[in-house]
Amino acid sequence: MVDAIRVEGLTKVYGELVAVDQVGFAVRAGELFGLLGPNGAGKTTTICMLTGLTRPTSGSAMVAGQDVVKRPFQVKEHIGMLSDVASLYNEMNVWDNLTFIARLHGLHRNKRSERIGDLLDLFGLIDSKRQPVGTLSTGQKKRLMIAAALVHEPEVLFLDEPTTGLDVQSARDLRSLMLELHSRGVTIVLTTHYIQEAEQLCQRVAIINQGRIVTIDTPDHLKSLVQQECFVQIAFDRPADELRARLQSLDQVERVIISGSGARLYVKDISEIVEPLIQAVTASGARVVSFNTNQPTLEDAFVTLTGLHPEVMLADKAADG
Amino acid sequence: MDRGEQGPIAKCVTWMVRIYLIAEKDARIYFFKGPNLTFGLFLPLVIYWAFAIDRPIDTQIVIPGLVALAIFFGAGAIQAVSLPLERRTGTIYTLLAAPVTPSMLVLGKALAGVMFGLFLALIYGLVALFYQGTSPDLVVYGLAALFASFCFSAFGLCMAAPFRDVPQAMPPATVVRILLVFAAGTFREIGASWASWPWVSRLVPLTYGVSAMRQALTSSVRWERFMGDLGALFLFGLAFLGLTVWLLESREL
Ligand SMILES: Nc1ncnc2c1ncn2[C@@H]1O[C@H](COP(=O)(O)OP(=O)(O)O)[C@@H](O)[C@H]1O
Ligand SMILES: [Mg+2]
Repeated sequence: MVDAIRVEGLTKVYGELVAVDQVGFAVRAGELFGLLGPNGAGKTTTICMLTGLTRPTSGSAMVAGQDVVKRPFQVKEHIGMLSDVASLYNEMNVWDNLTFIARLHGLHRNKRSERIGDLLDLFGLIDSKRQPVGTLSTGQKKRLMIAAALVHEPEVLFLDEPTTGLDVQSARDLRSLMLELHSRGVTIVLTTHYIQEAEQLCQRVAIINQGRIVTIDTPDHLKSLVQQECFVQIAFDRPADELRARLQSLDQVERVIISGSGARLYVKDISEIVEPLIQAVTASGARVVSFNTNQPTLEDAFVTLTGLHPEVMLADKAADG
Repeated sequence: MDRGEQGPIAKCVTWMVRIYLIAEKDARIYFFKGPNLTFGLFLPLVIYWAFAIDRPIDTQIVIPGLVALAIFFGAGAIQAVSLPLERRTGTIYTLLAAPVTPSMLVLGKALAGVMFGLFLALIYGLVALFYQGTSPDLVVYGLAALFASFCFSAFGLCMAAPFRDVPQAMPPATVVRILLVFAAGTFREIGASWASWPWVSRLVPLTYGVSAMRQALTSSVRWERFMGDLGALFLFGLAFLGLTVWLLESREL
């Protein structure tokens, strides 16, 4: 499959500071790719270079078949971008803002209103189309910004920290919207400092810290790198000792600890134990009353790989200016 | 939309359309925002009163001076509002993420300033007509207003380019403009021959606006001089636009 983005040795230096240091990665067409890192890691700078807003100090990048360094202007016709610094015109209403952007992109009049109508429908903003943008909620504004970034049907969509600053519900709505766009085949590059968000949405994640890419992989594979014990905690409707023999006989189980009606089974891979375990319990006539698993999260992987405390990811943007 | 390569003419048209779209949007949003009308319509009058107190009024000098001042302050004031505001609110990044270059942005904003300047020239032209009773040569007046608006709009952009908010951008621009009003000899009785103009005034673009307006509004056009005035306004304007683009690009916005 064709790469929608191919980045090699991309570097941005501000005075003494190397904000982005020899970054390289490729994103396949249709992929939902994440850049995960704490504040100041260089995510926004990377996105700005890929969208032609900032000139790289060195390195190269192809985005949607265009060379970002040689033809930054042409790139803009093929991409859409949501940035945490950009905004729309508060004084104009929702419809007029999108029309303005669509006209800048040279969208023909007939196609324009159809496209804008479709997007407002998809983003749940059709009822607010005559409302000035200044009166929308933060969540609505974010959605509108993404709609604006999609007006010209770009091949690649860049979303810089789309859910930062949103309330829980709006963030959840936005995440399902991203999955919806992904299912429609839009290539998406998402930056975030929320580990769970990257885990939940992205097919592959690049972990970036202090301008450098630490690793790039699928969330599942990253998690498997973490040497941490996996276990299943299960409770029955009777003393667990009655099932001890059956549990110990399961191939996948390495060790069993019994306490009261509960049992803890240490395993290598949780996904392989679930089925045989349920079968064994059912065969014994016992009933499962609770079932929990403990396995490494992307957060554990992140901590292992970067040596950073997960709390740094929650540090408020405002705190570091 | 057409994703293929465009020919040079089609490309040029696309660019002009985008420049116009930016200007039209500026006109809609910023023309009637707070300070613009105050600066364009009332400030020139105030300056004039401050200057002309206890002096006999010579409408032949005052009216052209006022029109030039209105354009000078008005076409610049809108820039002191629109450019910093686009940066503070972040709308400028939306523009630059679309296929818009900093030069197109600057040209669009300059065009909006020209439109505002022409609007003020229309209002003041009607006032002048009413007071003077003589009918100015419309073509000459229109040309003078157009070139003055272009130059002063570009000057306004240049003065606003270093700033990220309106309260920072307004005061220095206003002070500089007031100084230039006096350097240009806007309300002085200086003769038709250049020799009688103070030499500093020839470095000030406003001088050429005032000179062109005097000729247009007193039906005393001397073509050679008038064309020289328009040429000077145009060249100053281009230089200011270039400087603005450079300022914007060198500051990483
Ligand atoms: N225009 C700039 N001038 C100087 N330093 C900058 C500029 N933009 C970003 N930086 C610095 O580059 C680093 C990376 O910033 P950024 O890309 O915004 O990180 P992130 O988006 O991951 O939070 C930070 O240390 C930041 O202070
Ligand atoms: Mg950022």
